[in-house]
Amino acid sequence: MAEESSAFYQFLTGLSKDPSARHAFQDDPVGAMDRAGLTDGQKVALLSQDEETITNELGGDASVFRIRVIVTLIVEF
Amino acid sequence: MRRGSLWVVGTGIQMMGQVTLETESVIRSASKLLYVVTDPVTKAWLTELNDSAEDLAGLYAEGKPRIHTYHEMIERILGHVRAGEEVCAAFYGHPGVFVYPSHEAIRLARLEGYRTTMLPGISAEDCLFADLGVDPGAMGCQSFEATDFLVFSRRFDEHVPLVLWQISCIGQLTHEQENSTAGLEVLTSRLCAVYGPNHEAIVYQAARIPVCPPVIRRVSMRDLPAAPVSGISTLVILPAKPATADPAMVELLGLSNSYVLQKAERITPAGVVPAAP
Repeated sequence: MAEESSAFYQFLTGLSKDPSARHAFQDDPVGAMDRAGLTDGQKVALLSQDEETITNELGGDASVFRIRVIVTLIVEF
Repeated sequence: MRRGSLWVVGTGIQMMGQVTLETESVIRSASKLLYVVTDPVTKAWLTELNDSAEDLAGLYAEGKPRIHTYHEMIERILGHVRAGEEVCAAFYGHPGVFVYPSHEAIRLARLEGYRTTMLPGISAEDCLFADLGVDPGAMGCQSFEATDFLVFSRRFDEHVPLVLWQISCIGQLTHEQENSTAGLEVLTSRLCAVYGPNHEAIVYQAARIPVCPPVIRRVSMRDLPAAPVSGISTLVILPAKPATADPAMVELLGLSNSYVLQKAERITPAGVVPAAP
């Protein structure tokens, strides 16, 4: 994984697991992202608060991201 | 008990932050990890925890009946169990909620004599209770898969919150990337007949990424077919008025009138009130 991608993954992992990291982001999102060394594209994606934009920036396929969610049963007819 | 075992676990809705300690331990120690998750960060995290990790999401395909995909997932999981491995199958959300392959894999593994355990995870409904402030203890909660709700004419109580799942793919049995608005129109017609066209509904979507807020979009019932919905949108309909208490039952149970009044006051969930900035 490229260094900038790794930083992005680590940043999001931190936000997921560490409440203080999330509060720091909420209080000063640009400062928190600068300290984490995120690229301009990553910062724009996070500030958009749009899940598909962020997923695309992570290198994931947003359309797959969207449709994988349905792991459901509609078969008992 | 035969050699080989199956743990089925849930990774929660919002990346890996909602994984329980117990689930993380099972993921780490499994000799084979199979998973279906929705974001690349969780995928990378699982691969880091267990280098046997294998993504099952590649079994989905456009236009392929979902039931075929599910049975392929089940066979892939059971193949490793039958080979004597300590298998962990991890699914997004709660592995027992809206996940057919998890239940079926456990059922078949048990029939074949293997040790199986399902561990709970945080489901979309759990997030809904937190984000909207809906407490099923206050006046109950009705929850249906939207296609099932329509096809079987499920009876429901309009004085109790109604939650309808998978409103974007009503009537679709195959795996499609585009949402179905035709099904949403049918659902709207059914709901308008009970609630009226002006009753407010909430299109809800739990946040999957920590910086993103949950989607809580209020829409009048008549405008529902045109409302933007995604593959994970859920419809929440709150009651317009409380149910009428049965005075004979109140007396029989020795309850005071204040009990009934308190119940009536709790009709608006806390989360529906706008949060402080």
